[in-house]
Amino acid sequence: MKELEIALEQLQSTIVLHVIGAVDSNTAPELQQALLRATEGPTGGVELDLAKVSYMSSAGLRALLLAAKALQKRGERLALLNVPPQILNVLNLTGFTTFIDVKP
Amino acid sequence: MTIKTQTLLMVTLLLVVTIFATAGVVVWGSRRGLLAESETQGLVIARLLARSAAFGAQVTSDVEKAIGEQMIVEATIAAHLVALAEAAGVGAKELNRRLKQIADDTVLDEIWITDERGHAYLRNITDVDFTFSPDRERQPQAHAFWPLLTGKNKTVVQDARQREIDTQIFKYVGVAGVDKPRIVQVGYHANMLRQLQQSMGLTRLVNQLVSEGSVIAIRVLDKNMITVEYAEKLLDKKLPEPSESNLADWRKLVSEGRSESSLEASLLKVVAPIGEEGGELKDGAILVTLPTDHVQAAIQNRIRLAMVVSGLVLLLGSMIAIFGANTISRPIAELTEMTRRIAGGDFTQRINIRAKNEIGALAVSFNEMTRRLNESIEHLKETTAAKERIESELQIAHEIQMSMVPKIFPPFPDRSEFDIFAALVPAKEVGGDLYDFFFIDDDHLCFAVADVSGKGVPASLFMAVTKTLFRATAGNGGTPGEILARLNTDICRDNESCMFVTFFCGILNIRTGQVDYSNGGHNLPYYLHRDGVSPLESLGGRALGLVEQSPYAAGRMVLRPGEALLLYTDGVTEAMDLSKTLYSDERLEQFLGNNRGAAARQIIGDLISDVRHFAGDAPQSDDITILALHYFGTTKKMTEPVEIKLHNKLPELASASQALAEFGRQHGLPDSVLHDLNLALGEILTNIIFYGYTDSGEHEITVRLSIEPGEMRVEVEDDGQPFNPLEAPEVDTTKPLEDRAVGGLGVHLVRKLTDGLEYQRHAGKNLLVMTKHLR
Repeated sequence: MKELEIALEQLQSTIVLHVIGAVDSNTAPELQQALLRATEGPTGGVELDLAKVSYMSSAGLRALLLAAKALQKRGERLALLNVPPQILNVLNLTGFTTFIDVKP
Repeated sequence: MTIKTQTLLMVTLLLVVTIFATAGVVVWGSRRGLLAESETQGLVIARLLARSAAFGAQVTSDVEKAIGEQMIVEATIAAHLVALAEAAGVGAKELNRRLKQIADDTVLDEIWITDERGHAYLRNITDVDFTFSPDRERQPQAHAFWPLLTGKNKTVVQDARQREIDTQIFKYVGVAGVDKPRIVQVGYHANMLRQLQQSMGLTRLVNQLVSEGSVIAIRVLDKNMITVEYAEKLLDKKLPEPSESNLADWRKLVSEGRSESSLEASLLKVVAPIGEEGGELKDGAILVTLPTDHVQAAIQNRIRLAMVVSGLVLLLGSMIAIFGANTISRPIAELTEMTRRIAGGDFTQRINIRAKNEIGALAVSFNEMTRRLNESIEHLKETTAAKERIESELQIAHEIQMSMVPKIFPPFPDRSEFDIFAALVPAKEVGGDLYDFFFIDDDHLCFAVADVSGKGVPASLFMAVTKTLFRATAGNGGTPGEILARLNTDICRDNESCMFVTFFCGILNIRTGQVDYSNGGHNLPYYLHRDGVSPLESLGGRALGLVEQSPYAAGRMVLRPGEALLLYTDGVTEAMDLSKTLYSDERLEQFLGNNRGAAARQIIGDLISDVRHFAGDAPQSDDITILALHYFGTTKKMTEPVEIKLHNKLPELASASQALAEFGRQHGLPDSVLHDLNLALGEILTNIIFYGYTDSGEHEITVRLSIEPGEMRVEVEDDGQPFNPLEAPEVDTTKPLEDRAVGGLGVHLVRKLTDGLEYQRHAGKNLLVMTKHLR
C-alpha cells in the first residue's frame, strides 16, 4: 500500500505541510495527525499544499475539518495551496470552502 | 483430611482404646477382688455365727438345767416347811406372810402350794387365787403339774416359757407334797435366762454384728428354712423378705453344701450352709448382707486414679504423636505446596528435603521431574517459537507465491477475443505448481502450466526460479519448443538439488485461434471442442531439469470460436478420497465433457468443487492448478462487466481503485469521471468495511464495472447489514465551521459525485448501482 508522504515546512509564522499521495481511509489518519500536531502551537497559520494529492476522500475532509476547528479557536483559518480541480470540486460540494481558504 | 490429622487421630484413637481397655481391666479386676474379699468376710461371719449359735444354745440349756435342779431343791424345802408349819399349828395367814417374805428377799418369784384339790391356798402373791386343773385346754401350762396331786409324778420341771396369762417368761418347777397330796410349785422369772441366751448366743452375736459391724443384715434359717434369727441395720429402706424362690435356691445350696454370693442393688448377699458345727441349726443357712459401699468407693478411687494416669499418658502420647505426625507430614506438606506451585506454572521450584526415607526419595524424584519438566518446557518454547516463525514465514511465502501468478480476472478486460481464467490451490502453504500467461505482442498470448517435483518450500522456491526464468526466456521470442529447450538448459544449469519440473507452454494467436505448443513431460491439456473432449497430441518431451540439451517438439492446433483448452496439474487427477481412490483422467474427461460450454471461470470453479467433493475429508495430497482458455474469435464484442472480489479490509481499497483506473484506461474514460467514481466507490467501500458487519469475520464484496451507452456503471454488492445511502440524512453544507459535524460527508459526496444512484436489498445483500455520464 502506498504511504502518504508529508513534508513539514516552517515559515516565519506559518507551518506549511506538503502532502504527496492519495488521501483515503487508509492514509487519512496520517494527515489528521500531522495537521493536528501543526495546530497545537499557540499562534501561527497552517497551510496545506495539495499539489501532489490526486484524491481526497471524506476521511481526508474530516481531517481538514478538525484542523480548521482547532485553528478557529486561536482565530486562524486553514489554508490550502495548489488545490487540484477535482479536489476543489469536492471542497465546494461539501461547503468546505466557506471556512477554508483556497490559495492559488 | 491431612495426613498429619490422620496420623494424629490414629495414634490418639489407639492410645484412648489402650488406656480405656487397661483401666477397664484393672477396675473390673479390683472390683472382683474386693467383692471376693467381702464374700469371704460374709462366709467367715456365717460360719462364726453357725458355731456361736450352737454354743449359745448349749450354754443356755445347761444353765436352765442347773436352775431347774436348784428350783426342785427350793420346792422340796418349801414342801417340808409347809408340812412342819401346819403340824405345828401355824395358820395359813402366817405362812403366806412368811412365803411372801422369802419371795421378796430372794430371787424366787413365785411360790404356789395347793391343798389336795389343787387350790393354791398358800402363796406369796396374795391377790391371785389360783386353782390347778388337769384340763389341758384351760391351763395349757399349769395342767402339767396336776400329776403331782395324783402321785403320778414326784417332780415336774417345766422349760422356761411364756406365761399365757401375761406373756411373761417364767420357769416353773413343782414337787409333790410331803405331808399330804399337794402341788408345791416355785416360779422363776426367766428373763435372766433369755438375757443369758441373748448375751451368749446367736441372737446377741447377730445383733452385735449388725449394730456394731459393717454388716447390714443377718438372717439365720433352720433346716426348714424358717427364720430363727434376724437382725437388720436401721436404714432408709427396709430389706425385702426372702421370696419362695430365694428359699428354694438356698435349700438347694444347703443340700449341695455350697456357699454363694450375689450382688443385688449394691448389696452383697452371702449365703452359707450351716454344717455339723451348727448343732440344732444343722442344715440351716445363714444369709449375710454386706454393703458394697467400700467396694464402690474403692472402685471409684481406682477409676479416678486410672483417669488421672490415662490423662497423663494421653497427654504424653498426644505430644509424641504430634511430634511424629509433624515429622512425617512436614515434608509431605512441603511436597504438596511445591506440586501446587508447579501446577501453577512455576517450574523453578526445588524441594529441600534430605530425609533418608521414602519421602526423601520422593523429593529427589520430584526435583528430577521438575528439572526435566523445565527442560521439556524450555525445549517446547523453543520449538513453538521456531514453529510459529516458520508458519509466519510460510504465510508470507504463500502470499509471495500467490503474487507471482496473475490473479486479477479478467486480466485483459479489453480483449474480447478470448477469456482466460486460472486457479492455484497449494496442498500446503506453498506449492510447486505454476501457471502464467502474458502477451508476447499484441496478438500473441503465451500461457503455461508447470508442476515442480515435490511439494512445500523447496518446490515453491524451484517454482519461483522456473517462473522467473520462463518469463525471461519467453521474452526472447521463439516457438514454445524453443522456449522450453532454452528453459530446460537454464534450469539444468546449477540444478544442485536435482529437482525437475513438468511444463506445458502454448502460444495463442488471438486473431486466428492457432495454438503452437510444446510439452515437457506435463499432463496433456484437454481440448474442449464442439464434439467433445480430447487430450492434445503427445509430443513426447521430457520434464525440464533432467537432461540438458533435450529436444522439445512443437505441436500446433487451432481453436475455433467457442472452443477451449484446459490445462491442469496432476493434483486434479491424482486427488484421492479417504479410500485412496484417484479422481482419475476418466473422471476429469467426463466432467469436462459435461461442462465444456461453460465460461472459463465457471468451469474451473466447478471442477475444483467436484474434486473437493470427491476427496471428501481426505486431505489435499498435491497442489491443484487449472488454467482454462476460452476462445471467442475476433467477432465477439467485449460486453461483459469486469468483476472484482474484495475482502472487507481497508487495504483492499487500493485494489478497487487500481482496477477502476485500469478499466478506465482500457476504455479511454475521462479522468474526471474516473476520479469521481473512484472517490464514490472508496466512500461506499469504506462505509461497508467500517459499518457493514456485526461480526469480525471475513466477507466478500463484489464490485462490477461496466460501460453502458453514454455512461459508466459501478455496482457494489455486499452481504453486510442493510444500508441505503439514499436514505441517509442530508448534510447542511452552509453551516458555519463550529456547527459542522464530522460525519456524513462520505455519503454526501457519493450523492453529489454520481449522476445516478440506485439501491436495492435482495437475498441478504445490498446492491448499490452508481452511474456517471461520460460527457
